[in-house]
Amino acid sequence: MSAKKPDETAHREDFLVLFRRGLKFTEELLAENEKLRYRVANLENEIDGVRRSGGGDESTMRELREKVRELEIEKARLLSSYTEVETANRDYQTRYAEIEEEHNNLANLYIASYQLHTTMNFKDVVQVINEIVINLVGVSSFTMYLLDVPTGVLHPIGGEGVDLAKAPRPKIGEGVIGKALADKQRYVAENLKSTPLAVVPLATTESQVGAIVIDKLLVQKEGFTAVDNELFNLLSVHAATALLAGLLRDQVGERGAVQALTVGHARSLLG
Amino acid sequence: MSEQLHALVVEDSPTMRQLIVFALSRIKVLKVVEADDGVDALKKLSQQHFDILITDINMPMMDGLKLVSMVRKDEVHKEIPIIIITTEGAQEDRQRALSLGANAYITKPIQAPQVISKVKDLLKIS
Repeated sequence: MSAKKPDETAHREDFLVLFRRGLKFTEELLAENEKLRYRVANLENEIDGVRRSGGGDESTMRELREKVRELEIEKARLLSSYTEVETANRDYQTRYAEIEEEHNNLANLYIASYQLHTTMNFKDVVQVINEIVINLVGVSSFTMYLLDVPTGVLHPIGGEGVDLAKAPRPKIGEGVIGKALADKQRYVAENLKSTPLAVVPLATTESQVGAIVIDKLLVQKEGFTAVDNELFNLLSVHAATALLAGLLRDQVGERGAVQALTVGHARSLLG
Repeated sequence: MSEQLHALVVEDSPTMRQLIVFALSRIKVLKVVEADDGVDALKKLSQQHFDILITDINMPMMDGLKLVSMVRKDEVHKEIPIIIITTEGAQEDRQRALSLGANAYITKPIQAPQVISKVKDLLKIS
């Protein structure tokens, strides 16, 4: 057996020290490598995250764009609904105004009819006709004529804004007034400055009674309206019967009227 | 429940009076009393409280101008809103009535919506 030399032992010791240092260095390198791998893995994760995040923004944008589109559609729908409601509201307002006007017109016709038949006193009937023509139609100048059947001459019996003593006395069938009554046809001038402006014949089914001759409307009235025509229609018949009733009542007197108001008389008339 | 209000309509023409009353009947809180002329109106004003007065100008006994003047001197009704009804030819009457204290005027031929609107405005009702 040979004993080791001291140099060899020293070399071995040096080698072991060196080896241990190498081992330690290697271990450190491995640890560092592990750290780096970990870091890389983290960075890759972060990159993936960023990528995912980047990809998510596009998706969000798409979602937002879709939401905006939906909102735009909703806005358009709401605007359309609003326009429809607005149009409907305007229609309702127009209709309401029309109904108000119709209500007003019907009220005028009802009141005219009611007032014409509240009395059989001839003078009162003439007064009511005057009031209707002045207040409901809006006339500032007119003459009311009554037909004298035996002579066929129309005589002024009422009016407003005219001198009845100077009013003409036309014959039935002659001139604008006379013809309107003979034909039982209303005459209305085309021009508001014409005279007469209108002639309303007063007649029953059986006979002519008189006429209302209108010369001038109230200043604020721009022309005849639909309800004026209805009032003329009403006056044509109802004023005629009211005037006739007033004249007949005056002829038979109160006693005659009471005598006429018997069931027997009524039955005899009905046959 | 809404407060009951009272209107006095002064008009000698039964046709016009009926027309005004008919229009006012659309205002549910309004109870309407009618008078034939100024004298009749003053009598009714002395008997009860009214919230608004609507009067024609041309009337027998006492016309609308005199009535407006007297009402404005009356302690009880001096503040009452007054509407006068005029024709187009009565510009001077209209001015005089307004200067005497009438609050508003309506021109013939009257329209129900116009009457309702003026009355509601003066009574501050919707």
